[in-house]
Amino acid sequence: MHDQGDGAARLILNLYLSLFLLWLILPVVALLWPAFDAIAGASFDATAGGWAPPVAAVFADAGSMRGLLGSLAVGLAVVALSLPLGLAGALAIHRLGDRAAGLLFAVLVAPILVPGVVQGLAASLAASEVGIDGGLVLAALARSSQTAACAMLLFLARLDPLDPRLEQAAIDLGASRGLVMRRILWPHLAPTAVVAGLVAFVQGFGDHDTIALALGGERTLVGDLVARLPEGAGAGADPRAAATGVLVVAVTLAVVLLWLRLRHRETPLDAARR
Amino acid sequence: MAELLRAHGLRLGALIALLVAVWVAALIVAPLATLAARSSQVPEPAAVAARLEIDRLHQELTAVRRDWERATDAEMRADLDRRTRLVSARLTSLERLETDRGTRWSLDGLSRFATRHAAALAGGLGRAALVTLIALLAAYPVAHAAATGRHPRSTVLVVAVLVVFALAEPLRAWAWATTVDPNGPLARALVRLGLLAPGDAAAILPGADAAAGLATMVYAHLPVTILPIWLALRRLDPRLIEAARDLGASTARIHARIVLPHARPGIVVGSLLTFVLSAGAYAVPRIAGADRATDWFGPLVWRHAVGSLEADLAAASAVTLGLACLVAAATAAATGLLGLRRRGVLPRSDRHA
Repeated sequence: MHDQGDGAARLILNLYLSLFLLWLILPVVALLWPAFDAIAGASFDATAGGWAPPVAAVFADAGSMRGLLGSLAVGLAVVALSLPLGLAGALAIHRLGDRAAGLLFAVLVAPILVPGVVQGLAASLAASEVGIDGGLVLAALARSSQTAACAMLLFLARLDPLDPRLEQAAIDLGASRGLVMRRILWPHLAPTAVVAGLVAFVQGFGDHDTIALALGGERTLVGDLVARLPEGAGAGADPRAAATGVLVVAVTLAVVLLWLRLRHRETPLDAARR
Repeated sequence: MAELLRAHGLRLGALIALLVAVWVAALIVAPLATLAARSSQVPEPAAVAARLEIDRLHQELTAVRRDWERATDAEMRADLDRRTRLVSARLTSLERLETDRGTRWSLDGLSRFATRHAAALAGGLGRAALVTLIALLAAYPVAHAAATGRHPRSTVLVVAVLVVFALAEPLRAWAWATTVDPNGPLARALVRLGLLAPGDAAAILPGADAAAGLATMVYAHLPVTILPIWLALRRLDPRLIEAARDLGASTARIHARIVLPHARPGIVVGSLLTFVLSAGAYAVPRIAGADRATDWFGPLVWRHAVGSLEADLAAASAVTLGLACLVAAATAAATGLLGLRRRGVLPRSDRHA
């Protein structure tokens, strides 16, 4: 269905897309490279390495392990907070009156428009006011003001085309609210919940600016990476950053490929065509 | 509230209301209100004086107690008891004064910060706008191809964007920093392939300096620009375009009248996110080696938040940045660029009536 424009325009577009893909992927390859290079020391021979050992070597020391566990904990806690909140917000806005929905939407989405540094500082100030120390929990709470709003936006987009008369009809026919939730709303929202959960995890696991001020003495992978940089000097090739990247890219690729496969299997349209 | 209970039933409705109330109160209002309050409070001179006097009185009390233990006759002890009572009474009243009038409301910190760093704020916001524009121009054709193109190409684009998205900003910035590192794997690979003389890497690859900040910032926020546009264009019905073409519309006209209006909510959301993220980023300019210069506002806020001895100034720096971003977003909304409700980002009430 793409433009049937002249061949030259199409050639330029394809050339641009190829260059863009190179621009997008080349830095990722460069980021990951030192992880496979690490075992060979300074030399550039990857033959000695192979896949697993260099990454494992990078994570072998206790500090990196603690950072990894901290990042995982923040990511999972952010998911645990964002999914119920985002779903509740979407269900509320979906059924509130026009004006109330608009107001609630503005309040809940506002944190997305406030930079992470500001959120982190605000959360740690408010927490110290009531005697809560910085830590993984506070970091997850600070991060969730934004991630819950993202989850809510995803749920809202999914709820929008859903006809409320469907729920009303079920209730008129004697279904309980719980049954409507289980049989109509949840099956419709479940795929979005998976996507929203993954997005929330990524935003919690890899974040720096929001959670760094709220972490207290705890550590995360990205926090450690940034903290080790000398003031005013930029980053360069680094085996630890590479190992973190290998971890994220491997998991992401697995999830995305699984999602593509399941999506193709599950589409009702595909099933109908068969 | 009543609508909520009617729509979802008593138990589910109440649970939803409770979760939303906790979200608004604990995650949004409490932190931002605390931040705003801290930024507009300065210690009262009277309270500072009271603090000093309280410290002195505590020392006096300790001395009196020591004397009391050493004292031998009852009259001396009674005298010391009287002094203890006097000093304790004065301490109580001073401590009350310190808590009651400890700080006073004042916008001094905010105005001092805003005037001192006005140029840095304007520069940071201007550069963030530039990053947003570059990222948007670069991303739009890609988002369009990913959403409307044919299977293998569009899938490859989407998977690539998702993988880069999953790395999160700091690692994306690190990836870019590694790419332009004159001692990095790319430079070494080019040298090995004979495409680059060993000494030339530093001259060709910019490395990590203040000028590299802009390129790093664009790369770090590319996925955030692409994904909302891709999501918006995925909902575009191909039959609309076929119909327009059958009716004789040119490609340019179809794009301007059908595709672009469909992409608009995605363009607005992606641009707003990119703008806010670059305006307030700390880790990304730090990784790019651009945190010392006043190019970016995020590191300035960070230095105040972590290092400033004046609590009101630290909060003021964050409030200034937060307000600037909210004002920018509100301006975008007010000038009618958004059309959020009409375009279905907000739920349309007419359909539910």
